[in-house]
Amino acid sequence: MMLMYWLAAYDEAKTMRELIAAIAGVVDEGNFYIREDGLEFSAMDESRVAMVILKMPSTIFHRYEFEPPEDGDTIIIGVNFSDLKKIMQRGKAKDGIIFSLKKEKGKTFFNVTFFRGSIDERTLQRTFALPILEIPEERINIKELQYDVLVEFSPASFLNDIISDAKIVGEDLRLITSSESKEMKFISESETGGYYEYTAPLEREDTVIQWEIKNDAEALYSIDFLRKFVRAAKVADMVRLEYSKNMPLRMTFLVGGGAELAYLLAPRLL
Amino acid sequence: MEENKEKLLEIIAKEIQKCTKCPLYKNRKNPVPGEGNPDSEIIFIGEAPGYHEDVQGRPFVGSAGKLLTELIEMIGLNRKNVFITNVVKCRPPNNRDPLKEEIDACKPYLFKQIEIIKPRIIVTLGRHSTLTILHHMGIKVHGISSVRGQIFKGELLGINITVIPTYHPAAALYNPKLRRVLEEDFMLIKMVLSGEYDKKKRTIRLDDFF
Repeated sequence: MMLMYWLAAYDEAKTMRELIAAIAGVVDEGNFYIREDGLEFSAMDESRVAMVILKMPSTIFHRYEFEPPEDGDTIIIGVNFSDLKKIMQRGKAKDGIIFSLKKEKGKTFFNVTFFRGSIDERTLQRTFALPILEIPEERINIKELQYDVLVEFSPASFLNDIISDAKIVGEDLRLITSSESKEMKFISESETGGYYEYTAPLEREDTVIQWEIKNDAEALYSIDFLRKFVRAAKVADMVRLEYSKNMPLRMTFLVGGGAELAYLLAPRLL
Repeated sequence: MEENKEKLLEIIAKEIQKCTKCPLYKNRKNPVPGEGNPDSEIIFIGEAPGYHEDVQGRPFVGSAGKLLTELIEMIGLNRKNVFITNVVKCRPPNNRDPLKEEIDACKPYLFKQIEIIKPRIIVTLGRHSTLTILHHMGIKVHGISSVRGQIFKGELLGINITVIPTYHPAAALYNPKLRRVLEEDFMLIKMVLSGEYDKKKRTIRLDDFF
């Protein structure tokens, strides 16, 4: 029996490149947890204000092969995202990508292979081997928070312009959602009285897919972090915002095939 | 109280004068224990003395020191009213980064100084002082650029403290962009010192929710 083996192939290296870049914008390093049913990643940024959670089911990959290690059901791969991002940037537009593990001289490497053609008939294959880091496991007990507001927008890039506009004026984005007016406001203010406001009517806005307001809510979040998060819109079909007053914001990007890249962001207290 | 603190700081300074805990003592002209107001609410902690500091035995007296003085004055403070020191008290040769063993040998002096002064705010200037202080508070960080301009509240040596990391002024001497960042961070220091920051808004961490 072959032990600890993993291979995950995906046709579009570009999608994986953007996902890795979207993680690298928030965290420097972290552990991938690879299992039979797919991979997961979660890590907090150094200031512990933001967190990134990636879930990719095995079904999203065009080929997924897994043999667990001798002592468990999970392979842990510690990765430096700055290095991985550089490798991912070497992928060309038409490249497919294979992630795998390779053992050499007793050391295990995280292999990234770009290829042309199909997974079975590969041409122009290029492989980078990345040393696996031993990153202390930080099991973050993520409580399922109850949110007062849930709004889903499509396309996922819906928020990009709002956040870029808001950054011109201030440092924080104020989200105000009202069940009476059935609208969501995005407001940014400067120290000197500058002001930006975007109002999304939840019933008439053609970009709103779904919404639910349990209680009206107003909350404040750092625009700098939000700008990092919305990079993921490049590869997502939809973005879901969930928040409550003085509670973390959860921004989930839904990528085709069932993958999810979610960010949690601590609020600035009102 | 102030007199007592002053005496205690003098005792530390004398210990540093005689210190041979790491090889840096061999090439120093003068050790640089630090200087300033023993009752200061704020301590600025740099990396290690450079050429001018080594010659004069005083912290931040070269061109980076000139910029630090300007920044301190920009937020309405005066060098004499704050306390300025470094993680490592003797000059590393050729201004190289201090080694881990040099920092480990020297940081008990810094910690004693902090225990005596009991500041409300510590401003860490650059990577080495940021990592030294935050790691001692149990906060895991890897570098300066991702934590600068943030506020870390916690307990250090039994003292409730606010740590504000920023770049070392030397990094900004030839980089106008970094100088602007330093100025922004010093404005944050001003807001924290005046209590305006706490009144206005506060970023909390995700740990508070889990």
